[in-house]
Formats: sequence, structure tokens, C-alpha cells
Amino acid sequence: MSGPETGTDNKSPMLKINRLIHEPARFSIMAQLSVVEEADFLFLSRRIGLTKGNLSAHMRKLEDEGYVEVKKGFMGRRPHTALAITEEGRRAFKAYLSDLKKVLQVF
Amino acid sequence: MNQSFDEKELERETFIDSTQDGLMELLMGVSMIGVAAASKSLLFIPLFIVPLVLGRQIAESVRRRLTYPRIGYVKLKEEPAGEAIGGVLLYEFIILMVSAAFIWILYGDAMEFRVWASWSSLITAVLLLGLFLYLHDKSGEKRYLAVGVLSVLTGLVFSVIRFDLAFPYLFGYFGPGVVLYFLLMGILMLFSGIVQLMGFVSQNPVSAEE
Repeated sequence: MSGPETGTDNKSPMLKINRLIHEPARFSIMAQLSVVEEADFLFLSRRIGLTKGNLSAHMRKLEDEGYVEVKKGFMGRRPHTALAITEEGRRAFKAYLSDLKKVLQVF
Repeated sequence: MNQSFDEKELERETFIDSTQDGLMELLMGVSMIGVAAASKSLLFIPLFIVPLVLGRQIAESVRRRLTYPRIGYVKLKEEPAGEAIGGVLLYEFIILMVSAAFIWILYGDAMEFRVWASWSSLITAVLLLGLFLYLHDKSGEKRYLAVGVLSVLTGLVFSVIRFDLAFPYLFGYFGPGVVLYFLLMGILMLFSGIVQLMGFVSQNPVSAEE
């Protein structure tokens, strides 16, 4: 599995969990972005129930890890920022779900 | 432990959330009324062709001004165009073949134009049922199933009742049953779209963050 906070294969399933994604707000962001092409801050903050500042902080961590990309453009004449999950993010999220399932089987 | 994750359910919630403005129903309604109106005059053809061909672009343009400033922007995942078109064509082919088989069994001739014309509202309704089933699958909303069933029942009623003896001049190019079917379903969809749109605008003020 990829990601800095994940372990190697010889660790127990619990220790392999990707902690960056495991945080509830970031999990919600990854889950929401995994089912759409892209969305903006307003849509995500409304769906997930986070303030814009809180969302920005979590988004930055996911962006630093390469899980989420920020697309800056224009909607009409207004500047507009859309967010999308990257291929790496999609892989990490799938792996996280798989690891979580293994943990649940252990317990 | 973290939240559970049901991908299909989240996709459905997102679909419902992003289409709550009623624009989809509104455009469908205009298009269906357009078909009925085109039976009286070909001048009305753009009324159903434009929403059919440019519906997505029209909806996107309206959503940029009306929807996104209120609930935010989202682009849903799209099925590959080839798969979608292939699926629609296959469904329509199957329905037409089944219709031909029924007509052949009932009348002994599957090529008789009058028979096809008299059952055209039911056949159209079954063809459109595919759309409502698709919307039900995308959203999980039972109202789309209800509209699909209502649509088929309406099509059946307008196929069975013989209107053409009473007012043949009213229905121009098409049979009266299919015209009335499109008119009734179009009005229903348009009304549903307008009610949804009004509710959406009143319940979702423009975000201060915009």
C-alpha cells in the first residue's frame, strides 16, 4: 500500500491502516470525491458538513500526499476552483477500504 | 472505527443532491409537449429537438447561474458515450421486436401501419419506461418508478381508447393517442420540474461564500 503513514505487509491489519484517510473528515472527502468527477468547496463543505476553513486544512493534507488535485479555472467570468481525486488517491482509498475490511474481519 | 462506505448509495445521494433543481424534469416536460405540439405544426419541432440535443448544455448554463451559487458545483461521473448509446439502442430494439411479436400474435401481421399507429402510445410509453428505470437506478428514488408505471398506464389507456372518430382534425400528423400521451406526460413533467425549481430556489439561498 502507498502512503507515508502505512506500514509494510508483515504488520497486523490494524497497523496497515492509512491514517491520513482514516481521519473521519478526510475519509468523507475521499469518499465523496471518489464517486464524482470533480466538485467545488461549497458542494463538498455542504455535503460533508465542514466549514470552508476546516475543509481547506484537510484538503491541503490530501493534496500534499497527491490524493487530491486542485483545478483552478473559470466558470463564466468568475475564477473557480474544482477538486478531484487523483489516480493515486483512488488507489489509496481502495487499499484503505480493503485494509479496513481485513481489520473488521480480525475483530 | 470509521464510517461505513456504500459507494452506490453515496452515488445516488450525490445524484439526487445535484439534480434537486428540477431542471431535468422541466426540460423533459418541454420536450414532450414539443412532440405533441409538433403534431399540429412542424414549426414546433425545435421545441422537442432543442432540449433533446442541447439539453445538457442548456441545463449546465442555467445551473451556473442558478444552482451552483446555491449548492455548489459538482460534475457527476459519466458512463462512456458508446456504452450509453449502445444500451439505449439495444433496449429500443428489444422493445420494438417484442411489440412486433405481440402485434403479429394478435393481428397476424406485424407490418400493418394502422395497428402500429393505434398502439403507438403504449409502445412509446414502454420505450420511455427505460429512461425512468435508468433514473430510478441512478437515484434510488421510487417516484421515478411511479412515473414510469403511470406513463405505461397512460400509454395503455390512450392506445385502447379510440379518439380518432371524435376529433380526427385535432391531431395532425400523429395518432391522437400518442399526442395526448405526450401532452399529458409533458405537462406532468413540466409541472413537477417547476414545483421542484421553485422549492429549490426558496430553500437554498445563494451562498455567502460565492
